Amino acid sequence: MEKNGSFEIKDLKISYKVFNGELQVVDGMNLRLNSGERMGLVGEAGCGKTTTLKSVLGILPSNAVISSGEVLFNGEDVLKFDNKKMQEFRKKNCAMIFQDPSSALNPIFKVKDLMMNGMRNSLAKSKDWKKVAYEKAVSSLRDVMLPDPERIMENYPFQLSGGMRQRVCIAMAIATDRHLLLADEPTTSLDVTIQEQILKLIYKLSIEKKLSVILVTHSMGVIREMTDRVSVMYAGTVMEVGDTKDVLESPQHPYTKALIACIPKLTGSGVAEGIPGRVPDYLNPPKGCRYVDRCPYATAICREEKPKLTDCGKNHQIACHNCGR
Amino acid sequence: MEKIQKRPQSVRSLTWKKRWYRFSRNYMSVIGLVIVALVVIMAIFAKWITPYPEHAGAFTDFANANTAPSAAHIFGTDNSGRDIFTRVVFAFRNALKMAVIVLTISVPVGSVLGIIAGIRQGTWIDTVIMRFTDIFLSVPSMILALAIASILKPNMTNAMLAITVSWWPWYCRLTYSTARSISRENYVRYAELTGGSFAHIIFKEILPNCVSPILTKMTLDVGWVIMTGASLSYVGLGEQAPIPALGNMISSGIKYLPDQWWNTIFPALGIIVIILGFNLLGDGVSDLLAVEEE
Amino acid sequence: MEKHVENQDQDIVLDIKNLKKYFYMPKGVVVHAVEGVNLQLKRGETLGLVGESGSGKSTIAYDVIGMYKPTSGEIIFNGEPLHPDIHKRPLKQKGDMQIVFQDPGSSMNPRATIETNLAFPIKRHGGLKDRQAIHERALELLRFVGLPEEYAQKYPRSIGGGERQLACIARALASNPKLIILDEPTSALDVSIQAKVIRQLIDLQKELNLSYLFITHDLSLMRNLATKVAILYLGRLCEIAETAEFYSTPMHPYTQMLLSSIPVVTEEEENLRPVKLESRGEIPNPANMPTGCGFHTRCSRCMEICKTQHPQMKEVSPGHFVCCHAIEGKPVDTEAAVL
Repeated sequence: MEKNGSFEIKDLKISYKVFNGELQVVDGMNLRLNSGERMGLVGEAGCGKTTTLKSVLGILPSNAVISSGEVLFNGEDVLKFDNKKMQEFRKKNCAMIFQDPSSALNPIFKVKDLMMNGMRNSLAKSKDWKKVAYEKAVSSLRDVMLPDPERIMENYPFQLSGGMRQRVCIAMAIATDRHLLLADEPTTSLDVTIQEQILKLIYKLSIEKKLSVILVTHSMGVIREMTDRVSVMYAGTVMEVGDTKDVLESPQHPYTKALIACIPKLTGSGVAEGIPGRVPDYLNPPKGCRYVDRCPYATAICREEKPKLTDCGKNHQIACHNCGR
Repeated sequence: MEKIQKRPQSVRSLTWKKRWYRFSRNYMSVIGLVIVALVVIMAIFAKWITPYPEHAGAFTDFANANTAPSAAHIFGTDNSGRDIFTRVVFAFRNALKMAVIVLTISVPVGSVLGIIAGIRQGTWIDTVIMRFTDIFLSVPSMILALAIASILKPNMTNAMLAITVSWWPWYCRLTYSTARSISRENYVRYAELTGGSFAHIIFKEILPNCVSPILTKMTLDVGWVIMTGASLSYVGLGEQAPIPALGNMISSGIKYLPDQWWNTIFPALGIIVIILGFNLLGDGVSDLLAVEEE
Repeated sequence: MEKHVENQDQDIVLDIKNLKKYFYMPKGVVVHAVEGVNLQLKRGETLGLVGESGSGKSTIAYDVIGMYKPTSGEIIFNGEPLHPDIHKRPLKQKGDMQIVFQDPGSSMNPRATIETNLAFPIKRHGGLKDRQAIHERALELLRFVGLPEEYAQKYPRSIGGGERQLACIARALASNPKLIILDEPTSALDVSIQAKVIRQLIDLQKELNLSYLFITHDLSLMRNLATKVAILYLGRLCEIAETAEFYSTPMHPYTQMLLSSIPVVTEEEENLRPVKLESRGEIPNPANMPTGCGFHTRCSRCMEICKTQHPQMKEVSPGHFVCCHAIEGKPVDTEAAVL
């Protein structure tokens, strides 16, 4: 596939079947990622960001139903891939790093086995594929700034610290040339000083290897450090999307404003009251905008109709009927 | 805080509906439930549903002895002319009675001992209880039963005693490992830190959270207790003739194989059905009890 | 003069003197989780214990609450010494000190309703036996933390994480405590829910004159909540100061590294950060601690003496203490000083 890794999610709707109905978790999700761009996907727990990522790689649980929408990679709809195509997609184009590096690495294998197994099928079935794979693995480990890669190759995951394990996961993801990297809260379980190092690493790699990155997180601070653009998600839809600087300095959507206000700041401005209300019940979600019960600017139309993403500035869109309040 | 969405039904009934939903998705468990329900109903109402209740006991009718299955005797008759179907149903009744009594005694004793050992892990209490348990586990239940029977009279009560004595250690082991992991949970630590008494921690904090594995094992065990009881009565250590028991019916019918096969085959099928039913049900019982995030 | 000293003593709710906690592992490995820590907490204030993994912050909290037995050192609570063994402490002490854990999922008995969970400390410490009285008190506690009364009949699993934490706080209040230890209570929660819970904690502190020992790794949160902040690294105190002083002039290299690493959201905050000290190196394994100052392997200002000798606590300005060879200051006798 060409290096032009354009990625777009169009109107994706995913629900989970439960005993008394369907949980409509992702409700019309739209996302556009340009090649080489770092896009942040920020939202609170349960808003559907992990579900969205999982649908791209086809690893949703068995009770998930994709009711509509497309995930277009280079123009092809990933959701319609059969097993074979999906395997190829995962090997050649798209990789994911998960939140907990300890459970992402199989503890009974050494690092070298973990890395080489992942490359086994993507390398040509040549006689010395082991040697080639080993070289590639060592060079990946070097790329992720791990000291003494040959020694690390002989280690088991439990012998490495959390930060080093996450680096190994990243190395596995970039070992073969890929275009798209999905990172699901990669630093949430790490210490703050290590978190900074890992984020800088992902940033550096994305530039060097021309990777497009979707970084899912619940921390706005991480978004500010790492991403060019950001999509703010609430209850299954993108409420605001734009350049990171714009969205953080002048948020337009009421939810984004409230969210940023809730973050404790180093300036010592005190602790906000929080956002009144609760996340809507996914079994019986509101007909209109899902933020309607908690929004101070809600009007009648907000209850009836779902707002679409509309422009409200340069490269800046929000899904709100009262745009710009 | 703010308004919460009110649910139409009460919390309790919704939880049970949800549990039934999870349980019923597994066809095998539902089949198990049906079989168990049938067996239990048959056992309870034995007197009223069997055609010849008086045959469950000393009764002779040599004119009708060893007749093949027919409309009058759907399982045939044995060498004393007694209806086998009736005797099998009464044998179910005796078997279930034995299982209930054995488990009612061995499960609480074993479970509580296991919990005590689990929360006092590493201390002498743990060592004493678990090594004591190990001693009992190292003796096969049949040998233990033989030993007890050779000291006492062979009858149903003593068979139950023998099985109880060899059954409680399994529950001790089960709750030991469950209690160890639960005792590390924050709410148990909290109870200890706020001055909870030993008894409170065992019965209010840990035991309710062990219920699921205990009940699952109990359900599966009904079948195995009955099997052990049948083995004992097969070798003559349990109920004595003329009381109908699955084991002694099989053993007395062996000499009539293969011509009068119904003497042995139907009681054997009875054992198979009971064990199958409880096993299938046991697989699904944890679905009925599991505490799940809503 | 005597009266003044007495008042000052009564003002200090928690006084930790030279606390040490070692874990003795198999094969002769000793983990020095806490290595000689001195802290004081005044009534009505919040002391923030900040650190990353291996810093010993949770271990200190668990030593105070009685989950661990300190290896050595003394803890004075409300003027009375705390017995290292939890089983030997009087019931009143157990009630005066409460804890809220990090994980809302496992903090409450999942097989009991919220009211039953609350009833336990109410009965144990309130002496109430009458069911109606216990029920009333449970509802009162829920009102205190801003939860609706219906929640009493709910199970912990059917309410959200933030609300569960509020219920845990309600449970902690049941015994009318003087000190609440909060072990990263909001780390597992979303930002908007965290704001609600912290707001509630602040209001409760004002209303009930509670003292908080707040453990966290979130420096931005401490800026807005703590009266004093103490930074720990590998079981030792690096720096401790009143909040405003701490954030305006952080002195210890580790503090500066931490402050440089935390992700911030606004330009203003970015400008408030100290000289950008690049984070480098890994946190050493506490079982295999470096000699001398624990931070020397990662420190940009490491000198020869740092590798062999542990630095002494120095006072750089009133109330601001730093433990570093590279910083000038007046050496203090940590046991006697009020930190």
